[in-house]
Amino acid sequence: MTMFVQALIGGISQGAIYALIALGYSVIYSTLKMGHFAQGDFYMLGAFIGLFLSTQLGLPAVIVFAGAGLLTSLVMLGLERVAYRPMYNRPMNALLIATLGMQYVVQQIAKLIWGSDIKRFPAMFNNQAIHIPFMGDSVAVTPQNLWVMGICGTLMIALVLFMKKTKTGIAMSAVSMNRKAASLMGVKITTIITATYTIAACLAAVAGVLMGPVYSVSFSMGGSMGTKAMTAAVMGGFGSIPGAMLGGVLLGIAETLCSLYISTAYKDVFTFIILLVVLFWKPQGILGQAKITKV
Amino acid sequence: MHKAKKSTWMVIAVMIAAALVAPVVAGPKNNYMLNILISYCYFGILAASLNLLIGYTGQMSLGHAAFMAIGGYAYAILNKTLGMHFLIAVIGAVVISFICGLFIGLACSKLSTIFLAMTTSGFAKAVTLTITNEKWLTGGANGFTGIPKLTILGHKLGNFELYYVALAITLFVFLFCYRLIYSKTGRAMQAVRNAPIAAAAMGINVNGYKFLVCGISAALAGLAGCIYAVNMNYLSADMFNKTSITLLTMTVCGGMGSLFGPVAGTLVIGTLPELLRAFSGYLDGVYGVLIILVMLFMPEGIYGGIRSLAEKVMSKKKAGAPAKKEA
Repeated sequence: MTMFVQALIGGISQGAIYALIALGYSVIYSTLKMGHFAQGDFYMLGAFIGLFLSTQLGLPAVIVFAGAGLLTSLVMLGLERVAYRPMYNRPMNALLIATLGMQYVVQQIAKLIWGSDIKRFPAMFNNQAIHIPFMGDSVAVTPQNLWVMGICGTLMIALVLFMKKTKTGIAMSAVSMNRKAASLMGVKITTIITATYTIAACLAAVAGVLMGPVYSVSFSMGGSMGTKAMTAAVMGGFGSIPGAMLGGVLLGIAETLCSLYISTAYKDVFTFIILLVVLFWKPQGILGQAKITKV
Repeated sequence: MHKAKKSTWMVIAVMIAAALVAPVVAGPKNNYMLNILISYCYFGILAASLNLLIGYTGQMSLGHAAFMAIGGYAYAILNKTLGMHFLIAVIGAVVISFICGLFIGLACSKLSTIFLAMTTSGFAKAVTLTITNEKWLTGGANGFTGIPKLTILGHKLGNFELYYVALAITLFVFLFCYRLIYSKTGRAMQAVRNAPIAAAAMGINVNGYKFLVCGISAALAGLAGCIYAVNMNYLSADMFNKTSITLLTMTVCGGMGSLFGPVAGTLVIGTLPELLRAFSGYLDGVYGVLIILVMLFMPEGIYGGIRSLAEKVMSKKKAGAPAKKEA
C-alpha cells in the first residue's frame, strides 16, 4: 500500500509535467486546428535555456523560469512567422509535415548552440526528502515533487483564468469556435495566433526547466516527451483545456503504476496501447465533446 | 489502360539504361559505390510505398520505417534462425509486413489525419522498443548479426550481382505501382484522398481501400527491408529510427502523388549524406529545413517543380513562335 501511494505521488508529479506540455498541444489545436508535432522539442529548448540561465548566469529560480518561457516563446514565434504563417490556408497535411520538419530544425538549433552531449542540470530545489507518516510506514516526498505540483497547478489555474476572464482569452475561444465569424467581429487573428504560441511555448519551457534536473538535458529529450504529452492530450480530449490536465495526470499515474507492477522496459509501449484504446474506444477523449462531421 | 507520352517513355528508358550501366562504370569491385546504388533501390521502393499511402490515398504515416524493420527482421529470423530458403523467407517477410500494415489500416479507417500521424509514430516507437527488448529473438540492442548473403545454385552473390537483383525488384515494384495507380483501385484511392465523402456516396468502399493500401504499402516496405537486411548483413533498431526522417524527406521533397516523385526524392536526398559527409552532424537539421522549404515553396516537390518549370518554358516557346511569324 505504501508502495502504491509512493508511486501515486511520483505519478502525479510526472503527470503534471505531461499536462503542461499537453496544454500546449490543446491550446494550439483548439484555436488553429493544427497538430503541432514539434511541441516536445520546445520543451527541450526550454530546458536548455533554463540550464544556461541558471548555471552560466547564475540567476535566481524565478527569473530562470520567466526567462526560459520568454526566450522559448520568442524562438517559437520567430519560427512560426517564417515557417507556419504562410500555410494556414493550405491543406492540413502541408502544415502537419512542416511541423515534423520543425522538430529537426529545433533539435539542430539546440545542437549547434549547446552541443550533442547530455548535460547535467543541477538541482534547483532542496533534494532532502520529507517523510510523511502513513499507515504505520512513511511516504517520502521530495521538495522537487511538491514544487512541480505547485507550479503546474498554479499555471493551470492561471491559464483557465486567462481563458475565462481576459479579453484575449475569450477571443481565443471565439476563434476556436468559428474563425471566420470571430474575425468578422473584429478579433485580430494575428494577435490570437501570437498569444496561442506564446502560451504553448511558455508552458513547454517551464516543464523543461522543471524536468531538467530529473532527467538531465540533451537535444533528443523532446521526442518521447512530446509523444507522451500528445497521448495525454488525446486521452483527456484533444483541444480541451481541462481535458489536457486530467489526461496528463492520469497518464502519469498509469505509467508509474505500469512500471511498478508490469514492466519498466515496456513503459512506452504501454503509453501507445493507452493511446490506441482511447482513440478506438472514445476518440473524443474523456472530457471532449463528440464531433459530428457534416458534409 | 493509361498511355504515357512518348517523351515519358524516353526518360524512363534513359533512367533504366543509366541504372544498368552505373555499377559497370563505378567498377564491380567498388563496394562503396555499389552500396550507395543498392541504397537507392531500397529507398526507392520505400519512397514509392509511402507515396502510395500519403500521396495517393492521403493517409499520413510517420512510422513507415517500422514496416521496413519488421520486414528486415522477419527475413533475418526466417532465413538465419529458422534456416529457411531465402525465397520463402522473403515471401514470409512480405506477408508478415502486409498483416502488420492491415493493423495500421484499421487505424486509418477510423482516425483523422492528426490522430493517424500520432498512432503511426507511436507504432514505430513500439516496434523499436519491442525489437530492443526481445533479445532472444532479435539480438536486442546489439543488433541482429551475420545475416547470410544470397546464394543461388551454390554461387554466392556479391554486391555487384545483388545490385542487379535489387534493381530488378525495384523496377518490378514501380511497374506494380504504375499498374495499380491507373487501375480501378488507383482511381478509387485518389477519390478517397480528394473527397472521401463524395467517394463513399459514389459507392466506393472508403475504409476497405484504406485498409488495402495500408497493407500493400507495408508489404512493399517489408520487401525493401529484406533487401536492406541482405545488403547490410546486420540489423539494429537504431538504424530504422534514422530511416524515418530520411524517408519522409524523400517522399515529401521528391513530390507526392506522382510516380517520378519518389525517384527524384531518392536520387536527391539519397545522395545528400554522401555530399555532406563533412557536415554529417547537421544532416537532420538540413532535412528539417528542406521539408519546411519544400512545403512552403514547392508543395508539389522537386518533380512537380521541374515539371511546372518545363511547362512554363514550353508555353513560352509556343507563345514566342507565332510572335516571330507575325514579325
